[in-house]
Amino acid sequence: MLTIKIKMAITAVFLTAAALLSAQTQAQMAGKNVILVHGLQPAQLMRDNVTPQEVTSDGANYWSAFWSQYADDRLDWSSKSRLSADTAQRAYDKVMQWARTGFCNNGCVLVTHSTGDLVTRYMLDQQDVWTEAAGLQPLNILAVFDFAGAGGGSELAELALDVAGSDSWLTAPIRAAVNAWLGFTVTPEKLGVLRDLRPAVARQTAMAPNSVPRLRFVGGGSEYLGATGGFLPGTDDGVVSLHSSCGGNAVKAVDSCVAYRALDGKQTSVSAPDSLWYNHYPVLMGSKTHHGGTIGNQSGVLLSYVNNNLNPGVNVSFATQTTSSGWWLWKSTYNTVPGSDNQTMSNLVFNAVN
Amino acid sequence: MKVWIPIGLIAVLGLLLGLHQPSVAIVSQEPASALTSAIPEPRESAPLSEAPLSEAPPALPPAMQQAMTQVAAAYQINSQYPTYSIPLSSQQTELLQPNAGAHSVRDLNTVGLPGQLMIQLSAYRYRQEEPIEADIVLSGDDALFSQLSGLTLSVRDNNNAVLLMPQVQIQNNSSEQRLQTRFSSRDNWPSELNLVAELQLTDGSTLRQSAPFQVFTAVAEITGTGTPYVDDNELVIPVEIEKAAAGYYKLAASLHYADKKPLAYLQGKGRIGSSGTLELRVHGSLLYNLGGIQNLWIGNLQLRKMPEKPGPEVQWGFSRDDFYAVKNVDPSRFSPTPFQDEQTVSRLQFLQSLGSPGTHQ
Repeated sequence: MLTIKIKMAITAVFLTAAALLSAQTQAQMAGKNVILVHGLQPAQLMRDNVTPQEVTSDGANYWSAFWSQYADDRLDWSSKSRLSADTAQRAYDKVMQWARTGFCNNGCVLVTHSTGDLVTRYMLDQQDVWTEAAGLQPLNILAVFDFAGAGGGSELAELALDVAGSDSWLTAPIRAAVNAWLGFTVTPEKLGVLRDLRPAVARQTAMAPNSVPRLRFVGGGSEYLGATGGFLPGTDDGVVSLHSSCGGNAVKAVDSCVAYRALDGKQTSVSAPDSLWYNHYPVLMGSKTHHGGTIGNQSGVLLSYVNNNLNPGVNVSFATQTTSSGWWLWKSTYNTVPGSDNQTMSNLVFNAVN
Repeated sequence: MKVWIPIGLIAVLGLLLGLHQPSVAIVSQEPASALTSAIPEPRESAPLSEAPLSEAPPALPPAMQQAMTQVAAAYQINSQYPTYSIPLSSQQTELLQPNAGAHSVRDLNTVGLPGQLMIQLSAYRYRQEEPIEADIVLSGDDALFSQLSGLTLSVRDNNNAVLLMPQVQIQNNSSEQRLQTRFSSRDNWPSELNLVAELQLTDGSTLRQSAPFQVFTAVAEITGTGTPYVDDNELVIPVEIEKAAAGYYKLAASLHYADKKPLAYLQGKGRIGSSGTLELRVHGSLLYNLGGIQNLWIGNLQLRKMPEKPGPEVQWGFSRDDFYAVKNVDPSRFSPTPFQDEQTVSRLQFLQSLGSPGTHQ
């Protein structure tokens, strides 16, 4: 009888393991474990406290539109926390867990949105020291997919700090924009990670180049009925300017990630970052894709792509769709990804790599 | 005059065609079989919508695969160099000016004032007692300055408490008011601070604009470099550190030609006690074709003491000098052999697999 019970228990364990393995296989992207790192959660800033349970449930909800179905794990963090405080502790705990269990031995892919870009950069900068001190191997992070990355900060965070607690009529337009973005009237005690998100601070955080490629997916669409765009330099997605989302190495009013192609794919001379951060590669651009739309359900935007092989000495053939419109002096040529307007940006990226 | 009529007609016709975009011609597409004949208009033709998630994924555009292939190609170029020794151009300002001060510009037209307010700090991170310098420029026209009753400066902590009202030198002209200030930090200041410019209008309303900066007590001092030597295909530059708090450090520096033009960005790391040496390594592929014997420089040194667990913040050291000479570098001792690293290769293979469906490992 005991033998039968042992056999049944062993069978149950194997079945459970097989089920977990199966679930993990389904969740993976390109055969690698996927880790999600979410962006700013303004509702957390409003609360007096954010419990660990809320951090987890908010983290899960953040990705519900698309990426949650493909996630093997998440790094959830509280927007009330500064980067080097509770968020660093949460990142450390996850890094230790992944390193001890071999979660990334076969390679992990991180998917970030907005401020998750900055959180991830901080983690990558620290993880080699953390793991070495613990006698563990560093994580094998193969690539990071950054959607609407805010690693270069957002000017809206700067504005939020400057008007926090202000009741001057002069600041009313700024407060209206910040309110539209955050959904509440900001006060000094509700700033949390916004202090880290100021461009001057973000661009001094964990800036050492590393070997992890950062693939950038950016938008130039309007959000919050356009209330925020006037306060962001150049083209923005409603929250983040392109200088940040493209991975530009300086704050600059730019209208594309590259100087030869506009966000809608039009071949033209356009303002772009003078240089990109090391190993940052813009891939897709959507002229009407807004901040949330990069990971949400927004479709109907014909996306353009970026040529990343402009360095001499590399011969890569490139399939393109080149379309033209107009005639003679008014003729325009567009380079776009055909069919991209029939799906969301995230769906397109996932299908492309999986 | 007659000549202009047909030209004008052609122009009007062209404009109409250009604006109307009755059809979109496919100039080229590759491979053609993957594309449908009904190519959508390139701009603003499809309404933005919320797509249902349960739809089956559409056929994958080849351009997307190729975009991924190009990322892999670009990464392949970068991966020929180790990240501790990468090529450096004059455009990579974030690496050449790693301690650049905040540059905050605000368009005041957004709040109904015809002008602009700019704050420029001389650095982001200041050692205790190091002079902190800033320029503040309010520019505009009479409509702005006629409403202005004051422009003041203050140093504030994160709780908005005023720690100092620094003295300023004021220069005025018809289109701008410029404030210059220079002050030192106090021992009791927190590390995170803001220089705040506050506009006061004649009706009593105010507007603040802040620029962040930090002050730190140095935990280590870079005092010089040892004699460089060649190890395999790398030039090793020992960097000497003294008066250090024991711990794990990361060091970064830029390598320059004799005329100070940038050549490479270098990173090293390791554990040191109260004093010690950290190595910066220059990959030979960056040196082999420099010509004759070279006298180089390293500068922009950044020394960070890294916490081995979260809790303590990253702490900073400083360098006694801005640049140190690296003399008599012989390029003939190096080869163009690219760097190879198992993890970088696996990253490259992964990126290449993204551009080649069905090759995922």
